[in-house]
Amino acid sequence: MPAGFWGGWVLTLTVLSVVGLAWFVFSLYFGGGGNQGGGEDEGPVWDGDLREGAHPAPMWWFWMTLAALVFSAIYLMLYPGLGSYAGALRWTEGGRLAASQAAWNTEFAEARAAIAAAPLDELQADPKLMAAAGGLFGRHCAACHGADAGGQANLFPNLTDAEWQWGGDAAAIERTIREGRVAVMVGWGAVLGQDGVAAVTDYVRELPNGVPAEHPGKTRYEQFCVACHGADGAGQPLLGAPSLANDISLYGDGEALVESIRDGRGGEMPAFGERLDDSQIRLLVAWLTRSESS
Amino acid sequence: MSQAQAAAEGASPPNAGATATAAALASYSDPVVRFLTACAVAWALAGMAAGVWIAAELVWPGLDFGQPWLSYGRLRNLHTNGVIFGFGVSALMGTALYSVQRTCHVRLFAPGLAWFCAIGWQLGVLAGGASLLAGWNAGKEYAELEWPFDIAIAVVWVCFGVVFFGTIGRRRIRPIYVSNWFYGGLIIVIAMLHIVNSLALPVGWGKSYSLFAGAQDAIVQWWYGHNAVGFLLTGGFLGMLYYFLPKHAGRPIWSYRLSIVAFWAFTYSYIWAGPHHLHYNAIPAWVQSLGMVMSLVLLAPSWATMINGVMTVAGAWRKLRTDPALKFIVLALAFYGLATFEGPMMSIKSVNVVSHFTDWTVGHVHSGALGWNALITFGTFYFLVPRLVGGALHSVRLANVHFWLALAGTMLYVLAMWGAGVSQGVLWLALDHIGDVRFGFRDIMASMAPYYALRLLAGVVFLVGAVLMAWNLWRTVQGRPTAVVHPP
Ligand code: HEC
Ligand code: HEC
Ligand code: HEM
Ligand code: HEM
Repeated sequence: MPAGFWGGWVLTLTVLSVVGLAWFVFSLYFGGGGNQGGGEDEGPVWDGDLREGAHPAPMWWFWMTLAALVFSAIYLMLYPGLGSYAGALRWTEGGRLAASQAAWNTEFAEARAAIAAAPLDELQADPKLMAAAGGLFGRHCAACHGADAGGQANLFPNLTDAEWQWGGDAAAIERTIREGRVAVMVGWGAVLGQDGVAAVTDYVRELPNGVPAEHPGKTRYEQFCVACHGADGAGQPLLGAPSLANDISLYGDGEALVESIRDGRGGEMPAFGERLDDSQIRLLVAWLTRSESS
Repeated sequence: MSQAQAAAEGASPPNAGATATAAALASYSDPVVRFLTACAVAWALAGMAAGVWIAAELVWPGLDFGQPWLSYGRLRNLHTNGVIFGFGVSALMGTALYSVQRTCHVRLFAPGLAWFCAIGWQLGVLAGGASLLAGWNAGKEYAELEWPFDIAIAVVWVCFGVVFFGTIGRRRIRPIYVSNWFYGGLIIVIAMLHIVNSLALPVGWGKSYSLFAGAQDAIVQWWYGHNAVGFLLTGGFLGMLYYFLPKHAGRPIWSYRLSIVAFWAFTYSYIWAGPHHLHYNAIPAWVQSLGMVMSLVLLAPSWATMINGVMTVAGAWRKLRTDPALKFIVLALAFYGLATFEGPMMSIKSVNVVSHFTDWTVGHVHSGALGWNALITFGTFYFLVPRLVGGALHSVRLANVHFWLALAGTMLYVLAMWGAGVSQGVLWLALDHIGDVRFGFRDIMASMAPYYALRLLAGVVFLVGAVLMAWNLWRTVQGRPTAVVHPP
């Protein structure tokens, strides 16, 4: 709210403007309203045939204008506008936000608290809630994970397959959503050298068929990789190290696999704990773990 | 006299001193008007083709072919700048220079300078358009061109003012005709807005940073943006209306008093109304209230003009049946009335909550831009161009076809965007049974496809009409020299 001199300035200017406009319109009807010439026959003629008529404005226009001005005057008395005067309703944008949040709370807070505490299978059995959860996923997650949660661009994991690199039970998924996840796998190119990378890559490709008894990459794998990915390549959910022993790959096969090993990977799932409330996170967990999706 | 001679005459500098009166009485400088009209038609086609292209990109996003200069973000700016500054301003400059001579009963002051403005402006918009495609962008809507262009625009604009007011200054009839008030308002206010809003610190040829920051920047930007709409797309075209409508209908402007209200209340209130673009944004609430109130008051002068216009034609309804040019102008008046009713409604904060950030705004824009700006310009050109060459329009039938295409295109466009906008506004605000947003952006976006397809169709129909006009006007002037007309 402008105070002091500027408050007075805004007030004066606004009142003068509205009053001035009103006077202007009134004088059109009730004053003489000086005409340049005084009608079609006597006034000046421009460019051969351009003249100005002397008709008064229609009355409905007068009433319309008056209504706009009266509305304006009342509005400015009720709402902020006249300099430092806050308006009779004491309306503020912050106040309006608080009021609508309060109204929202009375209407929905209880239902949402119930959702946050409900067992997952109960939520999963309610089609309306699952539709709401799908909507949540569409708004907050689909940009990365795809509209069908099927992953995207070999960068954002598929959330409908059997592999959960950070763990697939409800508690692990909830933690993923709430706190986010940062995966760290350094690049091994410098340590292994080009041939080493090739050998280990080939070894990794063999893992889904069982641990090879003999392989040129075996020793290096056992030296550098088992700590996280395990001897059989089953992975380690605590570290987010994915399983290498199934056909599901996060970043893709082929050249992408070589890149993963040579240059490393550092996928990052943002934390949503401050953007979503407990009921929304609960719904998302229920949605992601419902039977069709796993 | 051949066309070249006529052009040469238009370009000759004004005689000085004792021969000044003789110069004033020399024939009107119309070749420069002819040039600007041709440029306006070319810009109409180019700018609207860009509009059709981006409309198509909203249906088939792949149409950018991975080229940055074909991307939506750049072509959209090309569209708005092409239609507003290429088409709109060329048409306004041309018709201002045409009508100011005739309503002052003198030849243009400094016709050489007028040529400088006309050509300078075209080069500016052409190079400016290229710079937008290259990715230069000052980041302010309707003021996207970077600082070198801003300076060039300011220079050309001030010269335009010198020519215009110079001509008024040596007028041979004392009262100043109403169309000149509006054209004069256009020149003065746009100069002021443009210079203040463009104040920036250059950091290279193609990059600068505004002197204003934060909320202040937003307020200055929409003070500019709204009044660019107000004094260019509305005020300037009102000048066109106040000259060409009575001229064409052959009837006096209905009410001088309404003209006075239409001008002064319009000029005064418009300057306040910018904040209605920033409702519920981080600007003070009192600023928003004042913007809203003054927008409502704007209804009065806007409809004063509409009444004035409609009543002026009222005695000449017969002409409407035979004369496509007048039909265009009358239809434009109707859309003017519509847009200036819709605008004040959208300024009401509780309506704006629904309309803001939706295609409703885009619909409002084009009911003004197509229905009002483009139609009145088309009508004016069908009237003006035959007179410029002292002949008749090549094909009245084709102009009639154009009329129906333009009407259909505008209606389709506006209806599609109203449908799209209102459903966006309502769907975005909808909550589901647990208080979450009911529809995601993605779902709503996907549901827009039919509306966007309809808008594309509308644009194609409208553009085809404009192409017919271009051909018709071309055939009208082809091989004909500019007519030589002397002041009375
Ligand atoms: C410090 C623990 C750690 C070590 C040691 C490690 N990794 Fe990883 N690895 C990870 C993590 C965590 C990821 C997941 C990265 C991501 O999600 O961005 C990963 C991802 C991968 C991937 C990509 C999987 C896919 O589905 O696309 C491959 C392949 C891989 N590691 C191979 C190896 C090899 C080979 C070695 C040994 C040379 C190795 N890793 C050593 C932690 C480790
Ligand atoms: C900015 C992109 C982005 C958004 C938005 C995003 N995620 Fe993720 N998410 C990722 C990435 C990247 C990973 C993989 C992290 C890694 O490499 O370990 C991931 C991983 C996950 C995982 C772990 C998958 C596994 O195999 O263990 C889950 C569960 C998940 N996201 C759920 C969600 C949910 C639910 C949302 C919406 C609330 C969401 N994500 C939004 C990028 C995103
Ligand atoms: C009394 C007259 C008018 C008023 C009060 C008015 C009011 C408004 C309002 C409230 C908006 C929406 C702002 C938002 O929510 O972002 C708007 C947008 C717009 N109006 Fe008007 N309008 C009027 C007449 C016109 C006319 C005749 C045109 C001519 C073309 C026009 C062109 C525009 C444009 C281009 C925008 C879009 C601005 C943007 O890019 O966001 N308006 N107007
Ligand atoms: C063939 C005719 C036209 C078509 C197909 C067309 C199409 C479009 C499209 C697709 C947009 C972008 C909307 C968005 O981003 O959602 C747009 C914006 C715009 N157009 Fe047009 N247009 C046409 C004619 C015109 C004309 C003649 C004018 C002006 C005289 C004009 C002025 C504008 C303005 C000011 C905007 C920006 C609106 C805003 O930001 O709210 N258009 N147009």
